[in-house]
Amino acid sequence: MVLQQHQKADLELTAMRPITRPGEYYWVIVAGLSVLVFAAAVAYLQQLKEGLGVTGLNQRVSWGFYIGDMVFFIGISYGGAMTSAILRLTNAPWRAPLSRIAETMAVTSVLVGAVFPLIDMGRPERMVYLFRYGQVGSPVLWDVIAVNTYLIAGAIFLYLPLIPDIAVCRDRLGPNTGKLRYLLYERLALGWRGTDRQKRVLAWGTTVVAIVIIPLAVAVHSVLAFLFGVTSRPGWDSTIFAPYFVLGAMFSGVATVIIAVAGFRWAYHLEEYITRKHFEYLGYIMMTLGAGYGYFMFSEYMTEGYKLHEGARDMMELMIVGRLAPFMWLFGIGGLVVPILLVALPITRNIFGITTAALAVLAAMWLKRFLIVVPGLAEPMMPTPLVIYWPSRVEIMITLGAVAAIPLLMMLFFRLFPIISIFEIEEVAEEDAKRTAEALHQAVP
Amino acid sequence: MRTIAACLVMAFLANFVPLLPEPALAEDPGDARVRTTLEVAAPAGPANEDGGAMLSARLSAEDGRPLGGARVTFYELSTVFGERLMELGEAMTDTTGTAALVLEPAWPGEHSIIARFGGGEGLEPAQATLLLQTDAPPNLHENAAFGLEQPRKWAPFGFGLLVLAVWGVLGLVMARVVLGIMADAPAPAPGAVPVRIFSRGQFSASSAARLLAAPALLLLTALPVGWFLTSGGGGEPDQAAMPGSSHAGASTAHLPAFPATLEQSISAITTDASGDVRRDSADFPSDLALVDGRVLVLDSNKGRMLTVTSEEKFARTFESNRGGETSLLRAVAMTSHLGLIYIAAPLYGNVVVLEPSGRVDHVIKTRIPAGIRPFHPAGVAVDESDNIWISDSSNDRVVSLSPSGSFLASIGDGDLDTPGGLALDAAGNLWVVDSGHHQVKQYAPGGLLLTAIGADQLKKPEAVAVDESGTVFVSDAGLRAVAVFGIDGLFLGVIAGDQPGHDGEMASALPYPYGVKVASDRLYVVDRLSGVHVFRLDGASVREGER
Repeated sequence: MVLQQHQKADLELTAMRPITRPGEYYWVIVAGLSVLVFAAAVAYLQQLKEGLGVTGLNQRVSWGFYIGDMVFFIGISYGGAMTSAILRLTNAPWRAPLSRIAETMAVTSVLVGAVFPLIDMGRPERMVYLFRYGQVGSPVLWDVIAVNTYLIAGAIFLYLPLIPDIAVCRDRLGPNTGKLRYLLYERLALGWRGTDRQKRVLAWGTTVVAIVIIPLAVAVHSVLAFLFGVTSRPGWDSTIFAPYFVLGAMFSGVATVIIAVAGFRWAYHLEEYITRKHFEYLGYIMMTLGAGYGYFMFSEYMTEGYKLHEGARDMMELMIVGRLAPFMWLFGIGGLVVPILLVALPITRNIFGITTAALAVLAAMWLKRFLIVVPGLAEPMMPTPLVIYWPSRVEIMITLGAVAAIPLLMMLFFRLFPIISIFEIEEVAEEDAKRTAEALHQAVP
Repeated sequence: MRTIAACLVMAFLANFVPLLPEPALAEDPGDARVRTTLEVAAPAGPANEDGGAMLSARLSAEDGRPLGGARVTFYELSTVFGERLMELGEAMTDTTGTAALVLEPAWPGEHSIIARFGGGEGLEPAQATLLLQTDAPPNLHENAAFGLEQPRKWAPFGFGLLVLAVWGVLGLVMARVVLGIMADAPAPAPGAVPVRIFSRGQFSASSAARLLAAPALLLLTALPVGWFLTSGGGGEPDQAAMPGSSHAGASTAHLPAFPATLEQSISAITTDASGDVRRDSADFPSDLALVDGRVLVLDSNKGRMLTVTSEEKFARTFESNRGGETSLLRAVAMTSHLGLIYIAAPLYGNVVVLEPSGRVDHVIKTRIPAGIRPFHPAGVAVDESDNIWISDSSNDRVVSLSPSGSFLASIGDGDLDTPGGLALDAAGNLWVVDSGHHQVKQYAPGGLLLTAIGADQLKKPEAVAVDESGTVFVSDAGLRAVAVFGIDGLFLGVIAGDQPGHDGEMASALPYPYGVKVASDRLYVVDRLSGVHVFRLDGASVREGER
């Protein structure tokens, strides 16, 4: 069914509402999130001045919250990008209202996550040493290259489908929207008029980038996993780490997409375009990924737990019955079993239930990254006692600031660009109409 | 058949030999071994092209006779993963009594070198230390060649090509999409005025101001940030001073000597009659306690308590469970009170209370408000009300606890930096080593700061002891000595400290002094490297004069 004129006007109005009328609470929320980001900046300034001594990191546990945060934020980014790319390539028609939010989330969270290695460095200016003295055999060097490549690909993946919508902004809002903003729309729209040639070249470009971004995300998160997996530390020394990280990234990424979609749906009244059906489909994907992640985890612990090598034995004990057991079981039950049940049971399979499941998954997956990063370092490789790590106020503030930065960046982005893809919804409606017409033509010759 | 069975039984038993308790070590009666001297000399120049330094140690008997054919082991004090001795290697002494070894430094800077002779064959063990400064670049590690060398060599290039290919594809896509869309872009309408941010008019003062506004704003923002970052001593952070190093000048020989005579030394490393290192040897001892004339020593790296026997050797009295609640692993603070020994242990933050015999009297589980860093006790003292004072070096505070471990108060917040040892004087005032500020501070029981001493003399203070007359003794790893202060804070001099050796090199009897206790006219010092030393204080008259 092709969109009628009034439906099209409604769609454009809804998609551009954050630009034209962001709502009375918009600036309140932006201010609240900015305060958290500012507090994080102040905390970082303190760390920069006084050194890493203000953190809970120590000689043994030199990776703590910050590296856990990096894996987490970059992970949810891959999840967002891959979800959008896979749905685009499989031509799932229900993707259209979700793809913009998923792609924006992917770019903003990788931007935030990529900052964490710098924060983790006591002397960030020494980052330049990585390029001056970088070892080509080091996963650290490749991780920096891979993350930046992914960031560029993610930005292109966000930009290309945005071009027709930028043109809508240019045409509907006009020069009255402000000189700078209009110039931005005019330049970024590249003279889009919606001709067949333009549509064809855009569809080609978007498809190619979608194809590239899937293996790229897999490769990039695998390199991140190799940072851990290539060491001989108990708990990290695992051949399953790369796929385990990739699946974990997708699991947490889909959960983040659900949360972001629920949040923006509520804030910008997108109920007409994002319905319960969208949440159910995303919930099914999250449930499947959760089951897969649980299987990987079981497989890893089963093989390690059966052999019980010296280091792994202490690690398993620490995680299953030891000091970290409450967190581990909280992850297993709160982050896997409960969310799967919330999606699987018809009584809770609604927007509230699925969003709750996604929130549980997200919190649990952050905890899981912490449980991967820290115990591996805390467990001594020499006969010395277990080192205790606990994050300091500075680390907690910076983490909270990073959590706030993602919705803040998204809100600022949607203040400039349409929150839902007008062009894609129209395109899907046109394809739908074409299929209906063909079906009718076959039924009534 | 019987022979085979007997062999099997013997083999079976042999497997269990290491599990059997170690037989009590017989102290060799009438040990008439020859006293030996070991001197380690600073290298004259580089030993090889890689910047290696030739270490040499000369072993001689008491009468100056060189001892050849003896095994000397060289160690370096490593502070990575806790303080420990890293073995550099062994060398045999030649006919001149000299053993030499090439040190290839892993980092430029200070190196604390320890040479040890284990004794044996009628010779006593000996030890010498040397503070060495090297500026050689570290040797780069080179992987050994093996079968997968070629794939490993070329794999990064393969990955690099892959990354370039991805960038190429992304560039191609962008170029084609941008050009493809722009090819169909509408031509500008005739007469349409393009939107511009800045008009192309005459260059005016207002347009210049607009152009300069952004960089000026950035600069204005950067200035306070820069000031904030650079104030309070920016630049390279202080490197943790190695024991034996000092903040100003390597030698401390210029400091006045406080009259004291070394009366007794109990070597950290001792050997049995066959020359093997005894299991009772101390591994980085840190503190001591005096109870009923017994000297009890905290053997930190092994997490146990030793006592000094009448033969002037160490003997185990308490072996803690390394992972348990009584673990003394890495504990560095001990004191005695009413015949019991109190040891503040870092693993669980407990205070382990022992009887001198080694029996655990009780364990106090401390309940201290969490600091920003893990609790790390560096000093302990118990007052007359049985309340326990512990310095929490990681969180820059000293806490007082009830006998049951409940938190009572915290002092020093804001004016202590990495507090170390503690001591109570006769008036009940608390003396705290403020390591970070190179001072020792005196607090009233209520927490009021009374005085701070040693700012001009102390380099790396570790522990403090106060005698009945009020004289303050501070062990200082930077001075390699014990600094002595009168009751009015006047610096009286140092005990031990650098003295010129036979070869002109400076050496101290206390290369790494730590725990210090005073009883009557005896000063007991635990040196982490060399063992326990007892000094007779000959300066009673000096101290009396201070009063």
